[in-house]
Amino acid sequence: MKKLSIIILVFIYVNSYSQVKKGGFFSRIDDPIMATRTANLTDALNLHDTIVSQCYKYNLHPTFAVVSEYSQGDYYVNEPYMKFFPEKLEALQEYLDSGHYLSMHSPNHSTNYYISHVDSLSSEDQLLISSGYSDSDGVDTIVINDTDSQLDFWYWKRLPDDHYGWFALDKMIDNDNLDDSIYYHRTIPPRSVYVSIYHGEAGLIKIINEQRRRFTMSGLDEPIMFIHPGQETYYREADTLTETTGYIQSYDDDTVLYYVQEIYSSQIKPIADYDSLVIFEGSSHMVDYVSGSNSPYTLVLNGYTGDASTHDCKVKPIRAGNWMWWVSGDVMNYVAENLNLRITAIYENGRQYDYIGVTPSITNKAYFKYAQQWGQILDGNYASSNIASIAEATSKNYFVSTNDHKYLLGGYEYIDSVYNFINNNLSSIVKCSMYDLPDSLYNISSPYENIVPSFDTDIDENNEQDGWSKSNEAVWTKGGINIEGDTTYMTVVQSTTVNCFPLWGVEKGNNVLSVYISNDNASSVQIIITEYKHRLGTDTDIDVVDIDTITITNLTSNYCERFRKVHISEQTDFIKLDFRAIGGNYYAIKPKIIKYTAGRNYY
Amino acid sequence: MKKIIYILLLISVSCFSQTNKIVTYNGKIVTYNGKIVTYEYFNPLAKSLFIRMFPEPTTERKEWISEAFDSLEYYYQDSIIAMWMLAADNVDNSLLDWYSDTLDATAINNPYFAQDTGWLSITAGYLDMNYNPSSDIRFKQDTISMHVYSHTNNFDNAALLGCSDGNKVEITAVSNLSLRGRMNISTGSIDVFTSNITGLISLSRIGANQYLFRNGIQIDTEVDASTGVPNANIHLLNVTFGVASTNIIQFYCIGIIRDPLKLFEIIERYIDHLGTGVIN
Repeated sequence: MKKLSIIILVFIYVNSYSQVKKGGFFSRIDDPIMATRTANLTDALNLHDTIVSQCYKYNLHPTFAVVSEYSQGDYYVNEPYMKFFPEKLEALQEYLDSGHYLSMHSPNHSTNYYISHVDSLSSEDQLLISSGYSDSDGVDTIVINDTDSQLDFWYWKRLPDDHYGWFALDKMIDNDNLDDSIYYHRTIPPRSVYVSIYHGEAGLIKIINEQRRRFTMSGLDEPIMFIHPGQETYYREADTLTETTGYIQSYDDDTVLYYVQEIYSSQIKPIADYDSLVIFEGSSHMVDYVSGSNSPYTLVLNGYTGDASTHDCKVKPIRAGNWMWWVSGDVMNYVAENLNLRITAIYENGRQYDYIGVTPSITNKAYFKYAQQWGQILDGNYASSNIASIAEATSKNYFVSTNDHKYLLGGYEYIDSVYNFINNNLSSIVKCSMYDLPDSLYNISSPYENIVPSFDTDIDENNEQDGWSKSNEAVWTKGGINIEGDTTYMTVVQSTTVNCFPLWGVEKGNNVLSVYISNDNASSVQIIITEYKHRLGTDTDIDVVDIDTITITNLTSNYCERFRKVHISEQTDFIKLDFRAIGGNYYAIKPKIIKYTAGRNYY
Repeated sequence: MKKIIYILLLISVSCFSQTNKIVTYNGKIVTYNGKIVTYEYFNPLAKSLFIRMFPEPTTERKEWISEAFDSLEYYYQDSIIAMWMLAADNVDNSLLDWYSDTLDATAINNPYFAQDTGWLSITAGYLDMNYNPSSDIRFKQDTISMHVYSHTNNFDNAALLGCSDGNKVEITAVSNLSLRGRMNISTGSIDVFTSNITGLISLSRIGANQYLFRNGIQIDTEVDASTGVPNANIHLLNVTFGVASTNIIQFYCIGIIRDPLKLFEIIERYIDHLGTGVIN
């Protein structure tokens, strides 16, 4: 009997999986303490106190994405905000003690951790190796920049006593000048360089500029490479800097490994993959900051602020460019990188896309891989739009987050307004940290919750029903009768529409659509359900999976609830609902979409 | 030692006695060879109906429906031509003929629907049952019965049941506290005093006679019934009188049932499950 009970319980538990049907909010604060933009320790700690007290005030537990490196080398002469103070370590511990969470935001706020996979060396690679790039005079290879022809010249010298491996540099370039007999090529954007590493140990290196001490993108970041034996590292230079010499250092001990004689400008396009993140994690100094079991639970990599349009992504599902990479839950023991509304989606700049394609499993938390570049809640004085964003997201079952930076500069007024709004108006929404997110989502899911927002909700009090858009302000008005606490939308003009998009949380498979419809003669409404999925690799496109058009007519003299079965494809991530009045005066109230199971009560 | 052997023997006998044992509960098998088996019985006609219903009924309602079908089969076998349980969970399911997907009813002019209760006329609203005797090979003009279940008790001189041409069959709650039933307007009508028109009102034609029943009990006989049911669609609620019935109809059935007592009991039991029955 006991066994049977356990089996039954397990069965129920496993079958309790569903799409998440609640929106929510979580907060992430980047660069606290360790990058306070001030070298003044007193100011930094004062700001720290402000953050902690603010969070305490609103009972929120943000995740602090901390820059972890504490090297006291002279790299930080020009960027004193990165300087390590022992007191900062104490402040981090205080975060943890206050119930907040830490995540790692890279050792030094670099955007450039990258390596890409190749399954095996190409024949061209093999040929290149055998054909003679020797280390005879310390020169591994030269590639090559002719400014006029848009070629990059690189000159790498290997230090005599170092055996970190040797580099065969490939040039990529403008196709007209490509010499296939010498250099093999791949489809790489111009002015880029391949670095192929065939020997040596895996590890981290820095690329340092002689004059500026390091190559930078925005004045903050230091390019770091992961190198893997037998794998390609894709390193890309840009054209904004003029310093042309530098060297490559060991990340760990600053040993100079290679001198770089010619480097034309530097703009790094990050490419990351799973393995490099693993190495990265292993190289983190974060564990030195916090004791033992308090090591960070999530990993937040830095975004890249440059032009994402020319990105080249070699590894799915990671999208290089303007991006926060997701991290895994199964190898690196991180639960989730960051919020996004829903499993299976990745976020960029407030838009979600990129289907990860991991089979969901209640036991596989790796399924909860989220990525986010910036939060949907904007830094700055955007209180009304931020509040509207929260209202829309929560009504349509997805999560929004903050990605605060201005906090660090003392500009936390907007956060105060947003937190205050959430605290006062959204007591029922899910508030969680990145740490809690996966479990929170499971705990709040039921396949039999209605996913369609009520017509009667306007929590941000902007006189727009949360979750709905109208085709014509004049004809769609809030009104009608009240059924079970909800008022209606109504129209007296045919062919006007109201829609809800994007609506998350729909169950795959069969669903019940129910609509209350008004009693006017021949009242009829057309409901168009468009199913969408995200397309990998683009930031603007989504694919339509299917479109169902359903017409519902009231047959009675009273309000009438009618039901239709709606099948949602396995591929579908979210849907759009269009309600269109096509007959009589039309009222719709409490449209519902709920997972369908035969024999269940839907009334 | 003897004791131990005895105990072992008892245990083995006990175990053996469980072998091939079938246990039933409420007529359903729940164990077989000591294993739990999932044996969910539903009447085959009920199962056909469930497929046509959306949303498919709850397990509880399925059991009620199956139970009703079992009883109907037992008492009336093939005597029922079509049957509509208007007291249904939603509009669409209320219009289903329980026996066939070709005779689902249609709501005309927006009558009023109440969940698990049934339909009310409201002005010109009525239900077209889409049943025309002339097109039904099972129909027997001299042996036919119609059964309509009224949830309410309003003597409004409006028809609970009629048909779409002037030669109407009718069951009417006449205003003078009497109930009228006739197979055809050209036949004699039966007007019977009754203090109450709630429940199952049945009108049968057997040979040249027609009979009126309330709740399965015959309340009158009319011998002048030479003309049978007209060949026109059967309608419920207001039809040709132009008077809207203020009675709510919960159920309608057409068949060749001579004795509607069991039908009454079966339907009453089903409606009682819904909580909207009117007979205590």
